[in-house]
This record gives sequence, C-alpha cells and structure tokens, in this order.
Amino acid sequence: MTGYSAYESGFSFLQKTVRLYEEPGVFLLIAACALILTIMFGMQSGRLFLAFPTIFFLMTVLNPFVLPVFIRNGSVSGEEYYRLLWLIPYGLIIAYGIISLAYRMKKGLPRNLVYAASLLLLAVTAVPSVKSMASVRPPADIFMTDEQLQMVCNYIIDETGYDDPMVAFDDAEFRLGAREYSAALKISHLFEDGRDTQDTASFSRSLTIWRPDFIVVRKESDAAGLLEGEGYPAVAYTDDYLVYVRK
Amino acid sequence: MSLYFRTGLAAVVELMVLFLIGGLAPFSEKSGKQSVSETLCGGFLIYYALLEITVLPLTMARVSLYVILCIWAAELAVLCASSVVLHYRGFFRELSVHAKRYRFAAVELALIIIAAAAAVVSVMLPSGRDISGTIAQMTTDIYHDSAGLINGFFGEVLTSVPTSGLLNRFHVSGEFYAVLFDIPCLTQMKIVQQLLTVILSFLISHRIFFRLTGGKRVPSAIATIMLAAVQFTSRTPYSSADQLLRTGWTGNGIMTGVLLPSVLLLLLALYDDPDRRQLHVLGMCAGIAAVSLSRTSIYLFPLALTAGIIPLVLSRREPGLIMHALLWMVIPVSAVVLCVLHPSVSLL
Repeated sequence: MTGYSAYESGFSFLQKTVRLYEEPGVFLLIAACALILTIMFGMQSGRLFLAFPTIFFLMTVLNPFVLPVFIRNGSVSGEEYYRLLWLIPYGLIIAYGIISLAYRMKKGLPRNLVYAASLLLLAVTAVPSVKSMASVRPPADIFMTDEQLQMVCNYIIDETGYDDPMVAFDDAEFRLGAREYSAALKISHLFEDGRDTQDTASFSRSLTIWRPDFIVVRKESDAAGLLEGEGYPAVAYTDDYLVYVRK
Repeated sequence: MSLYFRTGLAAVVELMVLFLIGGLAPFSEKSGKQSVSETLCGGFLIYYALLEITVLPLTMARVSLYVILCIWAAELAVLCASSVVLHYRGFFRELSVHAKRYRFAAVELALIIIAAAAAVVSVMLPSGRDISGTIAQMTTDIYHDSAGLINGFFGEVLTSVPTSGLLNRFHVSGEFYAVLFDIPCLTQMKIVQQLLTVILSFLISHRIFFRLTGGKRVPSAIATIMLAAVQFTSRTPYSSADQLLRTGWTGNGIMTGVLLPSVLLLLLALYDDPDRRQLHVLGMCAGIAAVSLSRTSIYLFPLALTAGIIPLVLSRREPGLIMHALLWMVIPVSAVVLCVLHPSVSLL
C-alpha cells in the first residue's frame, strides 16, 4: 500500500507519508486549526475527549522521536505503523472545531458566515479527491489475478464441472487469488499444514490427512517430485506450474 | 423476492437485531433518555463480543460452518426474545431499583452461560479435518461464483481490497445473514455490511456531538453534516474516513468507523454518569469485539482507551475508573501479549 516503511525511513516516515498521501494538504491544516478552535472555544468534554487524546497520540505513539523506540522493540510493525494515524479522529475534530467557533459568534449572519466559509473550504479540499475518484476505471481483467492462475482454475473447473473440487496451491498468492477468481474451488490448507515439503514423511502425512483433489505446485517445488509417488499424476502444466490430480 | 429486496431486508433485520440486543444494556438509567443511536451502539458491541466468544472456540475445534451458524442463530433468537420480554412487555418495568440490579445480573449471567455453552459445545462436537467446513472456506461453501459476480460489478475499487479480510471471524455474521436471506455472501459483506457500517458510524458520531455539545440538537446535527462533508471528501489512505467509505465491510473499516467512535461515546457517557455499571459491561464487550474485528484493532483499542480514560479520571477524580478501564482492555491486551510472545499464533 505504501512504498514507505517505518523501518527504512525512521524519523522522516511520518513526513514522507503525509506528503505522499495526504494529497489535499490543506485538509491537515484545517484539522490543525480545528484542534486549536476546539481547545479555545470547545466545551470541557470536547477538550478532554477530542483535543487531549489527539495531543496525547502526537506526543507518544505518533511522535517521530519515539517511533524508532517502538520499532526497535518490535512492538509495532514498520509496514503497519501508519495505522496508528487512524487513532486521530480528523472528522470529529474538524466538525466540532467549526461548530465551537460558530457558536461563539452572534446568531444570524456571523454564524452563518462561519458555516459558509467552512463548507467552501471543505469543498476546495474535495477537488483533488473528486478528481482522483473520476479517474477510477474497472480494470480489463476484473479479477486482477495472475493469468496462469486463471488458466489453472479454468482447467480444474472444466474437468470437475463446478463439483466443489478441493485444490491445494503451494503458492500463497494463488491460494488467495483462486478464491477471488472462482468461488467454486475449495482451497486446501495442505501446504500451510505440511510447510516443510523437504520432510517427505511429514508431507506424506499431511497429504493423507487433507487428500485434495488437485494439487498445483511450482515446477521447482520439492513437492513436485514427491507427488507422483503419492498417487498424484501430473495432468496439466503452465509455464511455471504443474497440476496434479488424485487417482 | 428479488435479490435487491432481500438484500435490503437483510440490512433492516440486522439493524433490528442490533437494536434489540442493545436494549439489554442501555446507556442511560431512564428508558426515556435512551436514544436509538446509543441502543444500536450497545447492540453492536454486545453482538460482536458474543460472536467472538462463540466463534473463536468453535473455529479452533474446526466445527463445521453449518453448526456454527445454527448455534449463532439460537443465541440471537434467545437474546432478541429476552430483549422483547424485558423491554416491550414491561415485565420488569414496574419493579424496584433492586430488581433492576437483578436484571443486570441476569444479563451478565446469560453472557457467561452462553460463553460456557459455546466452549462446551466446541469441545464435545467432533472436529472435522475437512477445511471446507471452516471459516476460511465459508465464502465458497454455499454460493458459487459470487466473487466473480461482485468483482465484475464493482470493478477496481473493491477488487483491490485484500482478500485476507474475508478470513476474519466476524464474517460469520455476514454468512449468517447471507444464508438467512438467500443472498450471496459477498453481497452481504460488500453491500449490507458496508451500508450498516456507514449508518452506525454516522449515528454514533451524531450522538457523540450531542453529548459534546451538552445535549443541543441543532449544533450536533450541523456537526454531523460537517462530518459527512469531511468523510466524503478526505479520501486519504491514512484516515479513518477512507476506511469507512472504501472498505467499511472489512474488520479495519468497522473498527475505525464504529468501534473506536463507540469507545469515545462510552467514555462520554461515563463522563456524564460514572456510576453506570452497564457502561462498563459494554466497555468489556468493546474489548472482546476488538479481538474479533482485526489484528490491528487489538493494538488500537487499548491505545484509544488509554488516551480517553486519562482525562476522564483526571476530571472526575475517580481512580477506580482506571481499574474498570484495565478490565475493558484485558482481553485485547492479552491478545497483544500472545501475538508478541508467540508470533506463530494467528488470531485471525
């Protein structure tokens, strides 16, 4: 999702991610202003439960100086660190800050002006988002899966006629992709259970337990040599994968 | 009945179930003060906490999805019936304050019995070795090719969602309504659940504003409209707004859209009424629900709660609230410890 990892970027991680993904930069500025408005004009509960937690997070888990400590301890995954930003309730702070300011104004024109200005500002920040949404198009391949995976799935479905075949993939990406491509396939956990295919006895035991109808392995996989002897002849292949079927 | 009608009906029934369950642990002492938003919020927390308590042991025992759905249906039926009896027939309404305490104890007892029954069932039922009966396979068991249909309909936006979201235990709930209303499971998740998440998120946010503004209706309504404007315009991958509108049907979407705002609403309710014991039960339910939703939520829930409980304790000068907060987060923190000590243990 990111391309930026807290492991690699260290101190500058937050700055980079904000610059890269907070496309409407003015949005963050509005949030910061709203936080100040909340502190200045909000009721005590607003200051306690919106402003305090935000400042607390900025000083602790979102503090660039504290970040390396968390990562060094292994408490937070570098790739998932950005999720801590979900803790800040941007929307609530912005909306509450604006109404706090508005209700400090006199009823009538001044208050309405605050609302109008706020909505205008929000509309301006929306422009890049609307533009990016307009550019979204369905992909040519709606399944967005590997071509070889589609070939393998089509072969198995044709052979079994949607008869709930149980298929084991040694490629983890294929295991997930196959479920997206066709719900007719049942995915066996053979290769998650018997991870060590170099241990023949262990793999044979897992095979006896799971007994999948089809097994799809990479050509260079250790399992490829074992399957013939376990009663699984190869019946089809693609550039990189072999398909075995249970006798 | 058309698919569209059944899908809409599923959404309405889900909301009704949440409302009924929420009636078991009301936010406010006086029934007249109880709002629909808070009832739904309470229902959401109890619902997902019970789901976790029920489904976790059953999945660990590899009980078939069919059996899990039957047990879940029975639990929901009991809870909804209890709620109807308790609140709409006025059975306990005329009783004294002491009797109300008994009612509260009865709910606690019911929760414990249900959890214990689920644990017993999970041990007694034969465990199947066929993965087709477990949660990981649930979307493929019953409705063939629904994935392809949905992907084709929504295009890139929704197909870019990681499939691992389908493996979470909370999707048993989706499967349950999918079977009940004969709709494809992914339709339930990507349409009904998305819809419910957005509805619940805005209702809870409205109630948060209502409490933050001291019970003023007009400013809280305006703030909710402002919030909607922000949510619909700030499409950044790092904001909860984006989670809500793009992936509201996933565990992280529900967490950022509903669970974390629910925690804030609970803290605000505690700020107004620190002695309300039902709020502590709901807080514990929130902690259990956090484990059910996603791996991220078990980290974020204790952090959010810590940041919220500090000002509450300081303002109310009641150190006892710290003990309650620790109870709220004991389950998710245990889950975090488990994940750190045993990285091979996958909770999802």
